[in-house]
Amino acid sequence: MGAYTLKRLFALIPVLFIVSIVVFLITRLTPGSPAAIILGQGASPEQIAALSKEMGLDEPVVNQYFIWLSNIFHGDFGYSYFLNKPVLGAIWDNVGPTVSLAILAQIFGVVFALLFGIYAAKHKGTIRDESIMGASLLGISIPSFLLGSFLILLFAVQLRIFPVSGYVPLNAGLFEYLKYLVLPTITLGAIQAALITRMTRSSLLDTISENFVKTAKAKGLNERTIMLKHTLRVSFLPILTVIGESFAGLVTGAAVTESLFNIPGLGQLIVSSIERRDYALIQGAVLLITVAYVVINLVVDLLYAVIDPRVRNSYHD
Amino acid sequence: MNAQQNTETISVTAKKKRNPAAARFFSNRLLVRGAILILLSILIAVFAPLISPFGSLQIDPANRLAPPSGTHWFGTDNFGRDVFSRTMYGVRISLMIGAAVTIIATVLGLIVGLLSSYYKILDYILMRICDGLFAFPSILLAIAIMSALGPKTSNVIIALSLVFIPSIARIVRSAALVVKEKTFIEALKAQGASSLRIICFHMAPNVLSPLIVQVTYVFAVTILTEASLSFLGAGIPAPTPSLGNMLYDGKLAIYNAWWMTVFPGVFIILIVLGLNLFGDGLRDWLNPKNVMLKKKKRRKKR
Repeated sequence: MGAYTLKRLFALIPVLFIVSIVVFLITRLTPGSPAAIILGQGASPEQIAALSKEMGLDEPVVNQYFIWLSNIFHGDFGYSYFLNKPVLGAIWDNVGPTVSLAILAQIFGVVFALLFGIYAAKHKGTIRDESIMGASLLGISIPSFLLGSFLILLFAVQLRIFPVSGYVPLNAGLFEYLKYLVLPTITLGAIQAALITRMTRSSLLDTISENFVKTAKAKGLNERTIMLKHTLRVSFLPILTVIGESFAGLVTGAAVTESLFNIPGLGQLIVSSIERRDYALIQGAVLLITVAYVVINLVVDLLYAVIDPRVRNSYHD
Repeated sequence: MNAQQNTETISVTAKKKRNPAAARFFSNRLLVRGAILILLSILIAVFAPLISPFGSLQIDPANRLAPPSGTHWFGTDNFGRDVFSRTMYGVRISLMIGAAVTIIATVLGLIVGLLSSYYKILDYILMRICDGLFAFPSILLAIAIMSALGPKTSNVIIALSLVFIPSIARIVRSAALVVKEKTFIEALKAQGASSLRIICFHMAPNVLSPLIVQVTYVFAVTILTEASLSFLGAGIPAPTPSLGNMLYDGKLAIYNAWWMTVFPGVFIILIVLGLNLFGDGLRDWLNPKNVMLKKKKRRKKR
C-alpha cells in the first residue's frame, strides 16, 4: 500500500507542473502589461514601469515563472491590488460558504441517490424505475444555474418560502444559516444526485445477478438484509468513485451556484475578479482549487485501493 | 387470420435482414428520441432568421418586460427585445459554438490520441500535458482562459476547445493502443507501410466508434459549459443572444419577468437532453457486446 501511495504521489508531480505552467501563462496571454491593467487607464508610463519592476515583470519569462513558483512554495500567492489584501487572505475569507455549500450538496446528493438508486434497482423495468431514470437523465441535462433559477422562481418569488439570495454565517443561528442554504444546496446537489443514482442503479444491477446473491436468497435471507449487507457493500466501489469525482466537481459547480444566489464564496470571488481583471486573484484561486481537486481525486483513488486490493495490484503491471 | 399474422412476421424479419443496422437504429428508443430533439434544434438554428418575427437586437423601449402575448410569444426582455426571436438566435449560437468546439476538439484530440498511441516519447509528453489540463475543473479552466483572452465569441471557441481536447485524446489513445497490437497492423508494418499510412488509414477508422459516443457527450457538455460561462459573464458578450447570457439577463429581472428565464432555459434542456439521449442510445447501438449477444442468441435459435 505504501509503495502504491508513493507511486501515485510521484505521478502527481508532472501534473502539478503542467497545472502551474498553465496558471502562470494566464496572465502572460493577456494583451498588454499586467502592470498597466492593474493601474488602470489613468496611469503614467513611469508608474507602469515602477510597478512592472516591483512585480518582477522586467525579468525573462522563465525567471518570472520560477520566481512566481518559489513565492508560492513560500505561501505567497501575490497581492490583490483591488481588494487591497494578499490573495491567500482573500481566498481564506471566502472559503467558508463554498465548503458549507459543497458539503451540504454532497450529503443531499448521496442520500437521495442511494435511496432512489436502490429503489430503482429493486423495481427494475417497472414504471417506477423508468421514471426515476428519466428524472435522473433530466437531472444531468439541466445546467445547475437553470435549475437554481427555476427554484428561485417557484420557492422564493411565487411561494416566498425561502429567501431569493444571500448568505448568513453559521454563528448567526443554525436555522437562518440553513434557510439561506436550502435552495443553493438543492441546485448544486441535484446533478450529484442524478449522477450517483445512475451509477448506484447500474452497479447494483451488475451485482444482483452474481452467484453469492443467489446463495443468500437460497439461504432464505430476507430482501432487505441481502440488499443492504451483501449487494450494496460489493457495489459500493464504483459508487464511491462517482461520489469522489462528483465531490471534486462540486467545487466548480459552486462557482455558478454562488453567483446565482449571491453567496460570498470562492466562486463569487473568482467571477468578480474576472470583471475587475484581478489576475493575481484569478491565478491564486484557480491554482488552489485545481490542487484541491487533484488531491481529492487522489484521496478517492487511494481509498478505492484500500477497499479493493485488485486496484493496488493492477498498478504494478 | 393466422396465416396473415405469419406473413406479417415474415415480412418484418425480411426487412430486418435487409438492413439490420437501420432496424436496430429505429428499434432503439433512446437514439430515435435523441435524434428527433437534435434535428429539431438544428432546424431552429438553420431557420432562425425565418422563424423569428423580430430581429434579435431590435429594441422597443415602450414594450419593456411585456409578458407573453400574441405578438411577443415569449414576452419581451428589459430592453423590449422579443424573447422568442432571441431564443431562436440563441439556439443557433449555442449550436454553432457547440459544433465548432466539438469539431476542433475532435480533430485535434484524434491527432494527439493517435500520435501518442504510436510514438512512445510523444506519448509521455502529450499525455502529461493532457493530464495537466484534465486536472483543471473544466469551467474553471475555461474561465481562466477567457479572462486572459478577453470576451469574444472566437475566444469562447478557443477556450472550450482547449478544455475538451484532453478528454477526446484520452479516449482515442486507449482505443488506439488496443488496435496497435492487432495482427493486421503488424502485417502492414511487415509489408513496409509507412507510419503515416498506418495511422491515418488503418488506426484512425478503427477508433471511430468509441470516439463518436464521446463526441456527442462533448457536444452536450460544451453547450452546458458555454451557457454557464455566458451566465457568469465570461462567455458570449452582450448584446449577441446566447442561451446562457439570456439567462444572465433573466436573473436580473427574475422578480418581474419569469419568461426571460423559463423559455431560454427550456431550450437548453431540450438540446442537452437530446444529445444525452442520443449519446446513450449510440453507446448501446455501437457496443460490440450487444451485437455479439444478439448474434449468439440467433445462433442458439438455429
